Amino acid sequence: MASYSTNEFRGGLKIMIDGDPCSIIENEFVKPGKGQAFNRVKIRNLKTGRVLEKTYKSGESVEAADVIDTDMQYLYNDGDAWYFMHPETFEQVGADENAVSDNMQWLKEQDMCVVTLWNDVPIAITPPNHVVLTISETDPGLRGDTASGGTKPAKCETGAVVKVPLFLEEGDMIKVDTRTGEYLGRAKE
Amino acid sequence: MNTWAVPKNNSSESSDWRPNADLDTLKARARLLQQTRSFFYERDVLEVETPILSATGSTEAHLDFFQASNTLSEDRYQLIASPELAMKRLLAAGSGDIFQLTKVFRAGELGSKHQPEFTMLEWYRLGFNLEALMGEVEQLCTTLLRDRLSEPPSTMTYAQAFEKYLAVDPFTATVEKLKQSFANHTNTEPPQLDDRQDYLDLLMSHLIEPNFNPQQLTFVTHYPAEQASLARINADDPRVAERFEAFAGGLELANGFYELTDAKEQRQRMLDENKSRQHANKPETQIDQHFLAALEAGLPDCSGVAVGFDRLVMLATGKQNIEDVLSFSFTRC
Repeated sequence: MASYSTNEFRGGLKIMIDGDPCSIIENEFVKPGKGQAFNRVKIRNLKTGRVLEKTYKSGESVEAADVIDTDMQYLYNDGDAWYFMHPETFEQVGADENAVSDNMQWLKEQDMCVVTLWNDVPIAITPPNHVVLTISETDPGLRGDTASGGTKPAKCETGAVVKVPLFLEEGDMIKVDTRTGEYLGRAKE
Repeated sequence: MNTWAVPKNNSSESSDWRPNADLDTLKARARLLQQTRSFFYERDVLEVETPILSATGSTEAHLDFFQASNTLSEDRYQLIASPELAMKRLLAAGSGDIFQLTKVFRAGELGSKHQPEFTMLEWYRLGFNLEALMGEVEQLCTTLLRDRLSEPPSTMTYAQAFEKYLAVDPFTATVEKLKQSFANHTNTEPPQLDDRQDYLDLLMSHLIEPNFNPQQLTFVTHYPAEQASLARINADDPRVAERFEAFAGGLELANGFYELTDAKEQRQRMLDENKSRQHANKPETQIDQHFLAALEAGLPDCSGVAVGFDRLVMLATGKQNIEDVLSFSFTRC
């Protein structure tokens, strides 16, 4: 089993903590001049997304987590799982609801996503930073009102609800930032 | 800001030849070195230099070392982790008050406040007790840091610090109690450590020191006798050592001792330290017989203190990372 010494700790390193794969966000070396040395780390649990702190005795070995990020294309959802395909090997994996979580609202077929695999099983999905979505439902547009600055909710084809300017209509295509959920502008196919 | 004439370019591969510190910081560092020397010259404290190579080395339980060999023989040397033993040989030989600014080396210590190679300011005062020496540490910090420390120093004992921040008695609490205290305050399990003193270190460094006021020096006194190192045990209370530390906020600045002069007791402590090293799977260090012979010849009654000079520069220049006060950090050496 692969492992890391605390001396190798750095941001981005993937380690196992209490049975879950985690990613190190920050590593701080703490040592009283005459005393025991420690590594205090801030980590993200890659399964739950929760951030926590943990202290190791310096020099301790910690089990490595077999976690890799892979660019894959989103294919479809069959009700139980969301399927992704490797663009070169055409290998497919199914991600469950826990892995996809809130990001399901941004998944548009054929978009390239980052799939985080732990022991070859998807545990997290990162959609592209920007996606282009078609508005499927919104109040009728106020044509010509491009200046008032007001917004209204618009439901998109993937289920996401985005605040958009009043002049937009059903069938319009918009560009959205998936990290903030903000409307960025109109899009053309 | 006064930066380097050669601008940083954006291709990171070739930029590592450049200094870590900016030019202003190096100028401030030079001024601080000069002020430090003036401080001691004005007080008739003799500046000395002792070897960086040691044929034996230190037995300290929690340190790892660099070794040096040469191309002519199989002899191995240790790069010093502290100039203490050599400086005490000078004291025993009759040097009188001495100070030194020297590079010291501690393997594996790398972080925002640690570098494996760093600059130590160390001095010894004949006839000083700890209180007098703490007074001098304060004067030096006032001279070097001026407006950076706006409030007068605060002093508390090790036990008072534990009582104040954790409501734990460091002398009587069981290991279980210490672990529980860490878990309660952090909501995480403590790491598995070798002995009770290591749990005290854990609590001190994680839950007590970070609370110290950054506007003042905090002196912590009366460390547990088990952490005496080269300090005397208190004559009235055998549970505590004649040792203090000074902090600015959570930054550990200085460690001072009313120096142990008893050669026999010193030898026993070194043997015990080597046992701890063995227990922690660290290589045993040869005991420095020159040092013990000097103690037998007679170390004068004195107190001494070691100050992390780079950390003083950090405080004086407002830098958060020790790399920012060095011409070249360990990763660029």
